[in-house]
Amino acid sequence: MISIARDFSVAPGPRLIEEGEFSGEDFRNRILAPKYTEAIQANAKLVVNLDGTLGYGTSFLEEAFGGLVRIGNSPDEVKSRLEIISTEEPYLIEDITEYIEKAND
Amino acid sequence: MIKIELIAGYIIAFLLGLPFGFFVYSIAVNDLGFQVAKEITYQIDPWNVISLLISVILAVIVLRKLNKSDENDKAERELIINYFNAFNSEFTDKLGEVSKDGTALSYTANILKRYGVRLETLLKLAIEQGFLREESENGENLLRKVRNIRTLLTDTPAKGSLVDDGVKVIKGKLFFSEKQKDKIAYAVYDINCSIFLLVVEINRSLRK
Repeated sequence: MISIARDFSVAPGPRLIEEGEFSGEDFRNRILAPKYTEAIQANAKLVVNLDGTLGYGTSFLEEAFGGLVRIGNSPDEVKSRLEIISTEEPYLIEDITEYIEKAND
Repeated sequence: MIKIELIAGYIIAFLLGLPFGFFVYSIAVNDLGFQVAKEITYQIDPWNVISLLISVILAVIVLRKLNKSDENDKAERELIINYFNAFNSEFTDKLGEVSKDGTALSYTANILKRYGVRLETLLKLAIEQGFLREESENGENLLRKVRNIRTLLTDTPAKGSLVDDGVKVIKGKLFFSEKQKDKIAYAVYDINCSIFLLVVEINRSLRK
């Protein structure tokens, strides 16, 4: 399981690395994509817990999860492989699903 | 106000006491009849009087209970409306603050999280207390608009995107185009209107 607050930052940042620290791009490159690959190889689900941070900007989440599709994964595969936990802001799960579905639009 | 109520109470007590006193006197002297003219005599049936008294007392008790229940409902309704109005005022101020150039993205994200969670909690409370329907359209619209303003404040273009007239992030700080500032301002007015409609719905609701 990935906990963004524990494994990455309690203060997720902007979309891209060039925009500032703790970006969605950085999170995807260093943590999310490698763990996703491991999950595929193990034929397991990858759980990502969004709780415990100060909050997310839209583009952090879009770049992290939508970007996972743009680097060569199918939206359906990503949706079925990922399990998102977000008890503090449950509506983020719906948002992330939308980012995954519309990643290539 | 208290004096008027006191005087009214005394008048009502006098008006009720007068016939009751006459009735008690009639029983005491064992003469429940009275004559209004030479040929016309009225006889008072004591059981009718007792029955009437009991009815009046019961009516007063029931009215007082209903009145109390109405007062409680009104007070609770006002309380929850005040919560929404306070949320509206504070959230509007905060949105004004975070839509200024140079605000830290993490601060903006935190504000949006805190107020988003607060709004969800308030809506849940209003539904649990019977002031809003679970499928309230005004509630759903408001939540959608608050989520939309998160996008307006924090969504930057993806790499390779041709759209470049909204939000920029430089070293973790947000910068907005004039066009984007207008969009944010309109979205804030929209949220204010939505909260007003929600308050109207609460005010008009019939609690189950």
